[in-house]
Amino acid sequence: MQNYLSIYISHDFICANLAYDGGILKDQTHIFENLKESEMAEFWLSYFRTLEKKWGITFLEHPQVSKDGFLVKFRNLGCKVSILKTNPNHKKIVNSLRNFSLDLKILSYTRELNEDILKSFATTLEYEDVLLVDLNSRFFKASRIEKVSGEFKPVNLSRFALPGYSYTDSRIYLQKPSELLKLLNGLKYKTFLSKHVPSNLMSNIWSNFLMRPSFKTNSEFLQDFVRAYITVQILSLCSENPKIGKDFAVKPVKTLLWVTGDLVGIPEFKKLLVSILDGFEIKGSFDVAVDENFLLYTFGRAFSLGKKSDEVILSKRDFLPNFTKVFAPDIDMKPDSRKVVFHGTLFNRRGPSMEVFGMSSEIAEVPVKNPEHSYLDGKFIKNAYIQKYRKIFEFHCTDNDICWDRIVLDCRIKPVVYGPNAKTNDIKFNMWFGGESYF
Amino acid sequence: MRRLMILNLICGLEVNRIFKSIKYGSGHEVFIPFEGRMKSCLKIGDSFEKGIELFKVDKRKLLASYCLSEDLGIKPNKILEYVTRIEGEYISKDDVLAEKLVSGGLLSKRVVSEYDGIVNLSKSNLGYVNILSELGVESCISTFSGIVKDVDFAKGMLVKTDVCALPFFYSNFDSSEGVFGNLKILADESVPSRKNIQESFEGNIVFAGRFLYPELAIELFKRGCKFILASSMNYDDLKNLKVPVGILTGFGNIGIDSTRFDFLRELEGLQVAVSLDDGAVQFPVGLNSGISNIFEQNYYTVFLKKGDIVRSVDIESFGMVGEVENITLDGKLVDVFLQDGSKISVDMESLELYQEDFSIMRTRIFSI
Repeated sequence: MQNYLSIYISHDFICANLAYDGGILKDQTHIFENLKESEMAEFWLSYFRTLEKKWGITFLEHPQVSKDGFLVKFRNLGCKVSILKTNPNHKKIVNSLRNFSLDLKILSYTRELNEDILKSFATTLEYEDVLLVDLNSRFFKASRIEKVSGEFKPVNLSRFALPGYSYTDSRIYLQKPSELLKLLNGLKYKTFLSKHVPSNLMSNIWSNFLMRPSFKTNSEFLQDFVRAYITVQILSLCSENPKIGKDFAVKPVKTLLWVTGDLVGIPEFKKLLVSILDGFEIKGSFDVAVDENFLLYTFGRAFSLGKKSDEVILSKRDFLPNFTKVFAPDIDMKPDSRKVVFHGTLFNRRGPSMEVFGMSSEIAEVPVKNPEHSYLDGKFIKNAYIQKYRKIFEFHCTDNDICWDRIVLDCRIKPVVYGPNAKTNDIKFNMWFGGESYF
Repeated sequence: MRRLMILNLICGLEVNRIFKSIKYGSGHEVFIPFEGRMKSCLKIGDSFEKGIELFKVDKRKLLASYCLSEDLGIKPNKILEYVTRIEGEYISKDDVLAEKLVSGGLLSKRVVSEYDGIVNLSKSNLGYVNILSELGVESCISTFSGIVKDVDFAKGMLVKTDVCALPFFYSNFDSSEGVFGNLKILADESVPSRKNIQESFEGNIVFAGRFLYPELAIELFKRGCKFILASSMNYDDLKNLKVPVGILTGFGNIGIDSTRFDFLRELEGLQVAVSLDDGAVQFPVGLNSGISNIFEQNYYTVFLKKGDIVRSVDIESFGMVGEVENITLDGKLVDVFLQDGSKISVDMESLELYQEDFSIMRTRIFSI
C-alpha cells in the first residue's frame, strides 16, 4: 500500500496526517495568514520539509526551477490537500499549491463534500444519527445526518446506493479576529463563566488567544472562557436551526457525536463534554468521539470507502479514536437533590470489577481499562430513566472494532441552569464534578 | 517507519512556528502621501539617494489640536453639531471654537482657540478639531535611497526600496492611504507620563514605550503624532480609542524584547511607513542589493534545544522572550529564562522559535 499524506487547511491552522502500513502519523500547526503570493512557494517548501524532519521520512524530491519559482515532486507518496471553502485566502492557497507541485490533489472542502463524507461514514459505522460539531475559534459548525427509514439513494462517493439520510447543518462564521474580539461586549458569556476574572484581563487574554491561537493552554481562565464560549455558540447554532439538536440521543437508534476543531484541546474533556451537552441540551444516550487530529476531514472519505478507496485503506483500529459512552438520563427530582440514581458494575474479564454509582446532580466519569474485556451491567433507580433503555441494561465496551474507553453518567437534573454569577457557577461545577473519582 | 515513529514519540518532537522579529525584504514599494498640494516632485523612474528632496508641498503646520469628544463629553460623530466654525475659517486667539449647552441651557462648556489660525475639521470623525497655521512650503528630504515608481499628484508618491519590517501584533489602523513620517522614541521599558510631554510630534510616528494608556495616546495625537507604536496596551482601551495605534507584542502590560527595541533605537529619526497590507511598520533602508540573500526563509522548526531564543504564546506568559534553559525528558515542558531575569515553564507547543535578524542587518546596512 502506498503511503498517503492528507492535509486539511482550515482558517488559521493546517493539519497533516500521514497514513502508512503501521498507522497514522499526525501533525497540526497554525498557518501564517498574511503571506503574500510571492512568499507562498517558500512557505510550502518549508512546511513540507518540516514534516519530513518531524516524521523522519523523505518524500520531497529536490525542487526544480519553473516559471513560477520552483516545482516539487513527491516521492513514493500520494498527497491530497483539502482547503475549507470559506477560508478567506482559499484562492491564494489553491493557486500557490498548484504552482508548488503537480503531484498534489487539491480539494475544496464544501458543504456538499461534508454531507457526502458524513453519510458514508455513518453507513460504514452503522450509526443512524450522527452529529458532527466543529469547534473553531473562527467559526462554529454543526452538521447532522439522520437515517430516513426505507429510503435508498445513490451517493457520489460510495458508488452504490446507501440508506437514505437527511442532512441539516448550522454555521456561524466570524472570519476576522476583530469581529471575534467584539463578542466580548456581549454579556451572555458571563452567564456561563465559572471563574471570576476582571473583564479587562479577560479581554486581554481572549484577544491574545485569538491573535495567536494555540491548541492547548494551562490558563484556567482561558479554559473556562472557551468552555463558556462553546456553550453559547452552540446555543446560537440551535437557535439558527432548531433541527440541528432536536431529539438527538433520544430516539432508540445508534447515535454518535463527533467533535472536532481547534478548540477541543483547550478545556479538559469532561468540561468540553458539559459545554456540548448543555449547548445542545442533550438527554439520552449516545457515543462521543473527540477527533483532535481532524481524521474525519483528512481520511474520512478513504475510511468510508474501505477497499474501494483510491487513496489508502484504513481499518477501524487505525482510524477511529477511542469512544466515550454517555448516559444522560431524565431524572424526576427536585433540583440539587443528592440521591443515587444509577447503580452498576463494570466487569472486567481480565481484572477486578468495579462498582459504579451515579448520584443525582453529579457527573461521573468512569475509565474502562480493558475495553475488549469489559462490560457494564447497571440499572437506573429512583426516578431516573432513559427513554430508549430499559431500566436494567448491559453495555459491552467493544463492538465491531469500536472501543469505548470511558463511560460518562450525566445525572444532573435537567434543565441545567447557569448563573446568576461566576461564583454560583463555580459552586455548581464543584458539585457536578465533586463526586467519587473512578481514576 | 515504525521505528521512526517510536523515536519521534520519545523525543516528543513538535512543529513550532518561527517568529521573525524583524523581516527583511528587497524591492518593496513604499507609499509616501502628499499632505498638502504638491508643488514639485521627482519624476517616475528617477532614482534618488539619501538627502535628496523627494517633493515639496504647500502645507499648514499644526498649531493646536483639541479633543472635543473628551473636552465636551460628546461622541466623535456628534462633534460637528457643537463646532461653531466651518472648515477653513480663520479664527483668532480666544475665539470660541466649540460650545455645548448643559444644565438645560443655563451653563455652557466652551473650547476656545489658543492661537490665530485656520480651522481644520479633517479629523472630526475621530473627535478632534485642529488649528493650522498659514500656508507654507514643506520639503520631504529622503533618508534612504530608492527609485520613484509612480506619482499620483492628488495622493502621493510610490517608491521602490529595500525595507526592514516590524510586524504588528494588532493595529486599529484602517486607512488605505498609509502613513509616512519620522520615527521618534518616547520611552523604552518605562511608561511615560503625559504631563511631562511638552514637545510637538507633528509629522512623527512615535514609539511610546512598553505600555500605552489612552490619555497618553490622545496627548500624542493632539501634538500632531500621525501613528503610535507601543509594545502593549489593554484591549478594552484600544477598542474605544480613535487614534491610530500599532501594538507590537500583545494585549496587557508586556515589555518589548531588547532586540526589537535596539532596532527601533538605531533607526530613530529616520523615515518609516505604516503599511496596512503588510500589517507592519516598514523602515526603508535603501537599495542594497545582496542583503536579501543572507536571510533564509523558514517558517517552522521541528527542533528546540537548550540555548535557543524563544517567544511564548502561552496566555500566562504571552509575548515574553527568553532562552531555553531546560527541556523535560518527554519533551513536553520547557524551562525558559526570561530577559527580565525570571523563569517560566511552558508547554513546548506554546513556544515559537525567535529569529532575530537585526544584528546581521545592522552590520551590513549601516556599514554601507
